[in-house]
Amino acid sequence: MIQFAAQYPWLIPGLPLLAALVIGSLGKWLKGWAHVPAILAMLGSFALSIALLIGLNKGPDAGGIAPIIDFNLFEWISAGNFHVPVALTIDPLTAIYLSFITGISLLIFIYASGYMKGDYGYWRFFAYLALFVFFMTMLVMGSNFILLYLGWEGVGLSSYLLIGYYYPRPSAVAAAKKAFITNRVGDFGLAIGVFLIYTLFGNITYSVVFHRVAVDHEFITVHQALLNWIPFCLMLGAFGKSAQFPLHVWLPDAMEGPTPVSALIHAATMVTAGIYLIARTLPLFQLNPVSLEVVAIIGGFTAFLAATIALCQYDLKRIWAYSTLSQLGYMFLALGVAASTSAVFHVFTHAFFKALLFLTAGSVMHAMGGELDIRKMSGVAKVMPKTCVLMLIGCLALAGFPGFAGFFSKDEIIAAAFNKPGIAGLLLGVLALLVALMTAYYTFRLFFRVFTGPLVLPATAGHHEPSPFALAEDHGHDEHAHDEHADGAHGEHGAAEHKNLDGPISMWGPLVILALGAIGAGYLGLFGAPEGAHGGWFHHFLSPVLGGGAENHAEAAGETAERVSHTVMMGISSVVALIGIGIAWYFHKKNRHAADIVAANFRPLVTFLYNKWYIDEFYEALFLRPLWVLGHLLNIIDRYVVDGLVFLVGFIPQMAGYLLKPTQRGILQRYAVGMIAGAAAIVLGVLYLLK
Amino acid sequence: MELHVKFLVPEIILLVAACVVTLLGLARADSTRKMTQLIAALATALAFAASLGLFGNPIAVPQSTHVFFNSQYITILACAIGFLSVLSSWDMPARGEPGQTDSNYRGEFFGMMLFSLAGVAMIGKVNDLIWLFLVLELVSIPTYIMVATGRSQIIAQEAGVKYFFLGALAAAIFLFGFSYLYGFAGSTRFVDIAAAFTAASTSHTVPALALIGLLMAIIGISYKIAAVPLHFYAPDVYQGAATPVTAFLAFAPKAAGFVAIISIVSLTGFNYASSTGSVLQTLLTVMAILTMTLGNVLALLQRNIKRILAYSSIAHSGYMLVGLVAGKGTPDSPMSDGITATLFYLGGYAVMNLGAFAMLIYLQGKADAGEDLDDLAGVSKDHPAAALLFTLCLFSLIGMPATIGFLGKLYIVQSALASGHGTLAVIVVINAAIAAAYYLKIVAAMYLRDPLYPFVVRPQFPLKVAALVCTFAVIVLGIMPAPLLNVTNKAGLPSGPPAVHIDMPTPQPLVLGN
Repeated sequence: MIQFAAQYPWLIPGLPLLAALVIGSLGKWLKGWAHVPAILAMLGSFALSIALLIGLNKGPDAGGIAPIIDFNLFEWISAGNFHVPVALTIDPLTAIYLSFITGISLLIFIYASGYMKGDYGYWRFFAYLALFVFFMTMLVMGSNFILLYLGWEGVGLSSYLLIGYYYPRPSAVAAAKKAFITNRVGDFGLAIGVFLIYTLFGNITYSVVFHRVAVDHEFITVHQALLNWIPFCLMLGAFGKSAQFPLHVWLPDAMEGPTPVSALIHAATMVTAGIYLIARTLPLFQLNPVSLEVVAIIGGFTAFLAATIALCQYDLKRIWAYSTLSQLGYMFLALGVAASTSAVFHVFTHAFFKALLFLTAGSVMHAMGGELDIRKMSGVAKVMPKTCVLMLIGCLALAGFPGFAGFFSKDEIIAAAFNKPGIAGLLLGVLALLVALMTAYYTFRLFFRVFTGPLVLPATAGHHEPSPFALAEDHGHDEHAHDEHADGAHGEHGAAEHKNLDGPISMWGPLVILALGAIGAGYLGLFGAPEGAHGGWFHHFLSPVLGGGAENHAEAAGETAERVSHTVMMGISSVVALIGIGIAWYFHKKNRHAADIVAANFRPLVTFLYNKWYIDEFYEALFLRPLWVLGHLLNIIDRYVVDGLVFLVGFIPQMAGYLLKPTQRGILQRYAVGMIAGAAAIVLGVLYLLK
Repeated sequence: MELHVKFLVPEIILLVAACVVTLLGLARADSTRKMTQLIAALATALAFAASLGLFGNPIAVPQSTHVFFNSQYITILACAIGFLSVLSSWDMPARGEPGQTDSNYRGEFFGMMLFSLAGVAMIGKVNDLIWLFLVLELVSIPTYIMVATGRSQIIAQEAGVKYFFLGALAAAIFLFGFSYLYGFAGSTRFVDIAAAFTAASTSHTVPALALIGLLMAIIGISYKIAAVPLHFYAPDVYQGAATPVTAFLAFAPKAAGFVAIISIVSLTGFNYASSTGSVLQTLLTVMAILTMTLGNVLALLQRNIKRILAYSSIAHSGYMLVGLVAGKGTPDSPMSDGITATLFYLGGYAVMNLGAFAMLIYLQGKADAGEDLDDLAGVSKDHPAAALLFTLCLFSLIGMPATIGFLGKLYIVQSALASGHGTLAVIVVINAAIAAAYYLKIVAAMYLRDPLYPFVVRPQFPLKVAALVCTFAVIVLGIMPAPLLNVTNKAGLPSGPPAVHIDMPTPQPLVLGN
């Protein structure tokens, strides 16, 4: 299996592509079976990804495989010095990304087969999802910047299609456009970065570029000025895709897409492409230390910004969306303080628990008939016991409760921030701790609000969410929506009448696996490393690509001693998490009334945070309005000036046409005269030139 | 001797089949005459297989093909596109006026097509001016007949007559050029003419006579590729001919014309640095700019789809001429070779253009009705697959990435840049942008408008196969161009001395006058 995977790594993106094509072309006939090819393809890709991971871990000496650099499939473009081979790279970083992309995709596909059941355009949904997985795997497997860019644009496209999946709903269309346009800003930066790399290096293959950076010191000194700009360009791309300030505004709105999409694309996988980009191009960032500091500061600030906004939101999915922003901020912070392994580690653990949180939120939403406002529900644990336990696990992991996945990875990042030398390190560390406190609070604010307390359900509970395609589809999804709670659908929707709303096994089964990951994934960073190495298996495995953990970097650079050791840090962050959970428990379980009083006392602040720092409004005033005015101005110019010119351009040949019309009326002789005259003019002209 | 026969197997297959088909086409029974399409398809398929089988064999024809050391490329292309052309004109000879079917099946139609294809297949192997003339006429004369008889409408006969007379005039022009070349070199063989040019240019005594000969030859042949100033006929003839014939016209004479022009330019050894060469380069540059600009600008004004595609065909000839302007490039960077780029573009254009035409034929229904943009309005609603295939081919004609048209333009522009023709490259790119407007007009009509009336399509299996194969090739070769690129590279690049040397007697029967 390992050898097979090493020989045919292209099957990993190939199978989802095939599935997307099959579903896309045969979807009308597949109807309710559209998930089958997608799930089968994901099973195959997942098995191959795991085989690669195991093979790389064993190493070539122990029957595994060596990292595959540049597995050439075929030459795509070859023009002069510009070569774009379609080639794959498989190294530990790629293998880690592949393992969780395919794994979580598989689980979410299974979940979605239950969640989306009966939806109009069921097959369209799976075709898009499979297409997304193809682009995402290509993004992390490509061996050069062009393939990266193609994957990058491809996931952007899939994301656009899936956010706008409920296209009859204007808000979904607006959100899709917002995501696409905001990403354009970032992609522009990435494109410029790639152009710069090609101009400077004359090559776009990672291995060639990084080798040059590593050995050719003269080259670096000569081109220092331009090389300094490359990280900033790439960074802009990463910030767009991973929704960092100031390009973060699209991600919360992207929750307009179906919940499995939010979980897969806008929480677990696509948004971590920015971290992949920086981790992959770390050698270029290391040429310019300032760029890494900028990454750290932006990351830290986004983590803080998003956490504060999450404190005051009432929409279930939006809270998780801001939490995703905040956690992504952590990852960038880690990259910036030279703890890239910790960043990838957090990507890895975050993928499990955030997918879990979104999917449980989706289950709640599904059961509540599309209601997401946490003020309108309470005590849901009584009707959704399984979901409650699963979400609790996710919340504990996100809050950084000791022993859960998020605890270990987040803890490493906070330690790394503290250990960054200088006052900046101290500030970033404190900021990171503060964010951890807020995270624990808002996570459990949501949990206690929704799952504990007296049972209150919104009126829509037990009904299926009204479909935005209501006009387009013939019937609802009655066979699905009402079979589980046929009795509950009758009469009053008194709380007591509701029985279990957990949903079918396809919806909670995958969550159990994700929950296991949310509990266990963190231990990969703790144990399993050979004697004497820092960190755990995860750090050891990634060290050939990213170097050691944060500590190794510090030691290698001969920096001053650590401010806080990892162990001490664990203690501090455990305490912080517990404090956060405690506050949430007091205000949202024990004494909910107190929360309202506190909120009333800080009304302006709460409003400020509820409105997301007014950043959207700010952008509207700063960019949208002027652009709108400019657009209208250009429209006027276009209509009266450009159109006039176009008319003129069209007019001249038309006049010429009118003049030539006698000859165009099929009078052969005129054509012949034209030909002879033309030939004669050329010959005479040449003769004249020669004399 | 055997070796040479083997070398011409595809052409022989085509010629024999052409004779058989022409005879069968005269049979009394309609059913016998209808066998011609089957025979034509089989013959082209067989010839295609034969040309592929020979490809890569160490058979080199000495002296004759110092232009195309691997002239098989054109042979393969001719057979492949020929096969697809036969499929896309399936049952065509049975069609009559709009609204009625013609019971009189014109069986000789495919015979003419096969004769013309045999000419195209042979054109790369020509080593003599007389040969060149004969093969060019072998390509052209059957197409005159195809235009005139392909459709029992007066417009077709008018187009046929126009095409024939202007073609004769063009032939006179290049024959005039040939005679000057003969006068200059004292021989009609390419090697001798090339040697004479080498000798004359080293001693800086190239007579004006020889130069005029070259110019007239190129200008005359440019009729075949519909380049300015011999482009006048194209819109009228393309519009007048039956659509399958139009599709064929956009390939066969063009391919033969380009190979012929390359042969003529090769007489100066592609040496654009010499005084003769620089004149040729200037001529080609001017022709390229005028041709693509005129084609694109005039296409913008059209509403008739066949006229749009006719002007687009003119414009594409302009792009391909850019490759000739760039010349052979340096041996160490193969992609700076403009000749290779032109040949690649030729193959790409043949495939994508035929794909577009096949879809047009399909959508035009049983008779050649519906040539206006309005006639395609809303096609995507009733025939989504046809609209999609048509759109993909049009995207390729625009030059969108991931299609063969993109790579074709890329190589052309690359070769222009590599040879220092930056301005020309910019003009190509601007023209490509202009061209997008009129291609997208077709796409917009298909997707954004509502149908004016129900469509009558030609649901013929071979036609669908042709369209599918073309579109498939457009995409696959656009992503993996290596197969086509390898063949064109071998065609364009000067290889070493022939692997097997054969003493070939000079084709003496072809002597002038006496």
